[in-house]
Amino acid sequence: MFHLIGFEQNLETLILLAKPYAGHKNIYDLNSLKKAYFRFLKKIQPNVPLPQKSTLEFVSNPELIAKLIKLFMVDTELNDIENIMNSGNASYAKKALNNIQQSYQRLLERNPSFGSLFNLVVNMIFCAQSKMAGGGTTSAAIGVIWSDHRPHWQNQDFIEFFIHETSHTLLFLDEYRYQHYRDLKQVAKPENYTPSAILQKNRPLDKVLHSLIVATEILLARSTWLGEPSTCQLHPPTSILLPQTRNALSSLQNASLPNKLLTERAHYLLETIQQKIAPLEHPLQTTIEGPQQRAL
Amino acid sequence: MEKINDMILEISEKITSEEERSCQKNVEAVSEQHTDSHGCLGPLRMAAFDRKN
Repeated sequence: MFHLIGFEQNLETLILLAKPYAGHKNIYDLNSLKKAYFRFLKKIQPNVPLPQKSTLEFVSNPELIAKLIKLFMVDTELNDIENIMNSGNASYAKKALNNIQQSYQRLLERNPSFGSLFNLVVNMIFCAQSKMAGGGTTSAAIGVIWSDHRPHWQNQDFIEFFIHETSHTLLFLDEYRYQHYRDLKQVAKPENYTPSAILQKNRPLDKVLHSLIVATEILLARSTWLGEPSTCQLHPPTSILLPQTRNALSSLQNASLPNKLLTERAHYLLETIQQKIAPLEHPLQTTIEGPQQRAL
Repeated sequence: MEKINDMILEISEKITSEEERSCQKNVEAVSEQHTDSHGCLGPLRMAAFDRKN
């Protein structure tokens, strides 16, 4: 979403969602925005804890981790892949948190503009083990990122992980502002599944839309400031990811019923994806350390 | 920091009450969609699955 529609549009969404919770002083700076955003989140997800301070919290408290795991373990008809998480393990969590904290610092150095948006919308990161995934997000706990980064991940995988999970978070917020799906019951039906951009499996429409956004964000980040990774662990190389994304997009656009389940806003996002990936070619130039981005 | 604060103030001031109303309506609709009374749909969960899966 950061690369697809830009910093300002995402900021506008956040302000619009938070504005009713700003009190009489309105939203006038980062601090007032973050406070109002916290109140918005408390309203839509009252059971989700918020950090003690307004800065990003790397969660090490085992009780809090257990509470967050429960929020991520809720299985519903929209989850085509179940039991993604194992359990909390305090000693693992501590070590894993150190790695993710260091990677977070590298992200801020590599792209301060993206880092500013990340710091605004993401409130907590916690680590918990999984046999299937390197992390995730849920609309039940917007602003919380779960990580189980793999030992073989390189620096760029970590940065792509942050881009990946931030894209989900920004898309959840965009959905609250505009609505993306006309009927979630229809979205959950297997006959309405279409291929996803990253896993390339037939999946529910919400997963497909999210996968298209994430894949596009990774492709645009690589083509503008991140460069092509020398080895790809988390996401496929551009030579694979780009055709997969084009295939997932055209499959969705050609599927008449799933297409009708999306709102005008979701269609606008799909059209923007089409425009943004049209000029991309593969392979991109491999860059280990790309240029720094200007801070906002 | 100063530039982002200026952006926030500028965006905040230009938001119309109609935009706010429309957004609030959508927030209510999405909240309802995500927590439907049958409890069968619930939240949308996204995971960064390992590529081998």
